[in-house]
Amino acid sequence: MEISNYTTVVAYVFSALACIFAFMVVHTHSILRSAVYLVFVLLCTAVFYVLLSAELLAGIQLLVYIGGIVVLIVFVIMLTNNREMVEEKISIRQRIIAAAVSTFFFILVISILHQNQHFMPDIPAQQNFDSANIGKQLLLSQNSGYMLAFEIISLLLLASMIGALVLAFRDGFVSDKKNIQHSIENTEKKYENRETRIL
Amino acid sequence: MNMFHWMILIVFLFSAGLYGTLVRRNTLGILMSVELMLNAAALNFVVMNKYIMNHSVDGAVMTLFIVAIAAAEVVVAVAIFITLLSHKNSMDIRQVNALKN
Repeated sequence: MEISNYTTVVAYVFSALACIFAFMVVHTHSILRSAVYLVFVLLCTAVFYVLLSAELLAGIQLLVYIGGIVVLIVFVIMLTNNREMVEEKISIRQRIIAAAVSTFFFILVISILHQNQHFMPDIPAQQNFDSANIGKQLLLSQNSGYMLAFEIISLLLLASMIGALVLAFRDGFVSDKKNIQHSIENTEKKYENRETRIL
Repeated sequence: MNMFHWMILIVFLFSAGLYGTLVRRNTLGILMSVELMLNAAALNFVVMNKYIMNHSVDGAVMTLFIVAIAAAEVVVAVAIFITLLSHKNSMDIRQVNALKN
């Protein structure tokens, strides 16, 4: 059998897996399980990037999405208490409306794509997704380069980092000071009590 | 796997994300559904680039941008959720109906 046949089989198997896991992400009641299924969906997407011969993107998917974003989400799940882990029952009416909206969207887009199927070639075009080409395109300042967008996104990352720090520490510092003062007073009282008892 | 099959997969992933965004009440669940939608959009860029654009890597660059913006979005969202948790002691989206107090 040829190599292309194997890749086709792998692509279909992982597509089915990704669909199942994506359904489980939105269907399961437990938030922690949902996060684990999300990891599997992202892994399947990394496999798709490899199949589309974009290995750099697969690596970035693994590093940033699974190593960064999902770990952050799991961290927040562990910060919240057990009561929040399992979501309460959602009303049937809301479920039906949401399912109807998403199914309508799915059928609408698929029918539009099906009507315009003659625009879609069966064979992939010729290009090279290696890191040198992507980096050149990313850092080119003249015609059709993305240098300005690259710089703006670096600013966005900086701004979001500062914003997250401000949000996290604005109340945190004050309550920490209060807590420290409180604990200091408590220990002082304890020692005073012990001294009076000894005396 | 031709392009139409890839598109079916991507639209299914996006629809699943849409369903989750509409049906969830936990803010983290909504965030994960949005991640699913962003992931589908990024995959869409790469598939379009692979099949339609000849000698070009624009879609891959767009996917890099989507990943970077998703990371920034998640950081800010998590900071907001932790502030919400300390103020309201809950992660329910229905508690977030006022900008102040």
